[in-house]
Amino acid sequence: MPAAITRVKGKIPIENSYTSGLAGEKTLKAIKEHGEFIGTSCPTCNWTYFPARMFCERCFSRILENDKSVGPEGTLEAVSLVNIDQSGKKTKPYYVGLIKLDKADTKLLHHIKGAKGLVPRPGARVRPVFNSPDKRRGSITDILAFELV
Amino acid sequence: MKPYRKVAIVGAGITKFIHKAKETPKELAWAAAKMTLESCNMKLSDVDAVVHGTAPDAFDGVHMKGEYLAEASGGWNKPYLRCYVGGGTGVFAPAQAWLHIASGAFDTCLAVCEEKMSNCQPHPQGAFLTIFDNFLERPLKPNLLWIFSLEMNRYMSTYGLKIEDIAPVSVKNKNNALDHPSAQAAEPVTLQDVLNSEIMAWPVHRLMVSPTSDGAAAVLLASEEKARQITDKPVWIEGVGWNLDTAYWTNRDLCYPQYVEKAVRMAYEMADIKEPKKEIHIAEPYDPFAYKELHHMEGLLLCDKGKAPEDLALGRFDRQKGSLPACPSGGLLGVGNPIAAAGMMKVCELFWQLRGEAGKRQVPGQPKKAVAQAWGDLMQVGTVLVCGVN
Repeated sequence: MPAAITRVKGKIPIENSYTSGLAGEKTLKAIKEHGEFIGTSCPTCNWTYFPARMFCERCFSRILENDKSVGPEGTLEAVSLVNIDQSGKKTKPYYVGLIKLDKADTKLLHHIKGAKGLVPRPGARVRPVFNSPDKRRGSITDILAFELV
Repeated sequence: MKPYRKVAIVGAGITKFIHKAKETPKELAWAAAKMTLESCNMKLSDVDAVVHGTAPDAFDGVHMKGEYLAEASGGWNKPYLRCYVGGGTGVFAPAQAWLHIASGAFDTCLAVCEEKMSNCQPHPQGAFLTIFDNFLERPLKPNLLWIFSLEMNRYMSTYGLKIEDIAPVSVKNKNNALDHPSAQAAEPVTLQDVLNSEIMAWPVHRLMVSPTSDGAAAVLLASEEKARQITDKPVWIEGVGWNLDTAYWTNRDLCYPQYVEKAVRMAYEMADIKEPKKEIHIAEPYDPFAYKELHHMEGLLLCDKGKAPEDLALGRFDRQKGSLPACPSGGLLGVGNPIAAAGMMKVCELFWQLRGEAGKRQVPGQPKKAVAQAWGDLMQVGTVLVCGVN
């Protein structure tokens, strides 16, 4: 029996174009132009978000204008050594981790660079490694990774 | 369905509806939710539960969009529900929020609707292409307009209507929307403009179609006791209704939205409305296409079958002089159509109209009862809210 009778192929033909938003743009611009981490802070909740947010999810205040510089160093909260890629294929192992940047109350996901003889562990101090200014394009990947201090 | 206790709308808020918002979906949802709380001097900590309504995940391009929009809708660390019945979502969401309170489970519930269609490239149409049957319809390469053009044609041929009988809906709504601060598609168009606009799929003309939009809108609901503490002017939700027909859209008689009638009968019964034509003072029927307003006015039992165009021609739906103003907001044709937020915009309109706070759009004569309706899923759902003031 021809396969087409029992099965047809289909796809949802859409792509998406996402805006970084009023808050997200601020953070990405600071990374691109100055290699700096700019978040926003809620004075009511005494809580600092990185990346920047337009509003505090805890009390709903507008905090877009309340910039706060955070990091650049931080502390590793959790770490994993990844052996497979997005499609499930074996890949050269690499570390990912959750980083609590200094002065921020939120955590950032990123690649972690191991060092010779040093394994990244929770509690380790890390710092960002930025791409060279001419290669930055306003993306989270303008930070190449976080490395152990 | 018998409500356990009375529920009122006590606050409302809305963003501008625009073609391409720079804000993220979260930022849009927060803006509407925040405005709603500020409109009635409430804080996020006064909100017991949150209901979010948003249409296909594909529009914003985020799977689990309900979860994605939770904290922006005020749902951080709260009981939270995302509901979805396609285009019908905007009126379904406040109906679900109503259930939260009428059931006795919560005293306050924030209902927020958001849509960001501009994220979807090259056009949100792409998401709609897969609503069609994979074997019977998709091989024919249909688009959404096929349904609407065929439905409009069926409506016209059943009742002997001409395009000229339907096009004045666009004129009325786009002109009404000139007075709505959120409006995206307000235009002082004339009947000739509408008739001369591009024929997209006969008989549907370009100016008979609502635009794609980004935006958000919200309302705060409260129990009777809470509502009286919050405001002197609660707008009571007197009836809610919803109903789904088959997803085999070809098998329905497209000349009449039976599912809307079933939904509104549920709402009228709850609201103890026996003669809707006389008792309803304002209608916000769902009008993504010009003919749909007429179709829905009939389904809402506000016009005799096939007679809505005649009522329209006689000026019955006019905002200033009509006996039953329809879409005083400007509707989806005039204000815009960020799917779920568009239905919620209609609920906001009832709130402002019944409180006498609709500004230049205010329907004269102190209207007391109003109905809002939305339509969607595979063109099979009717969602209805009947509101009133004492």
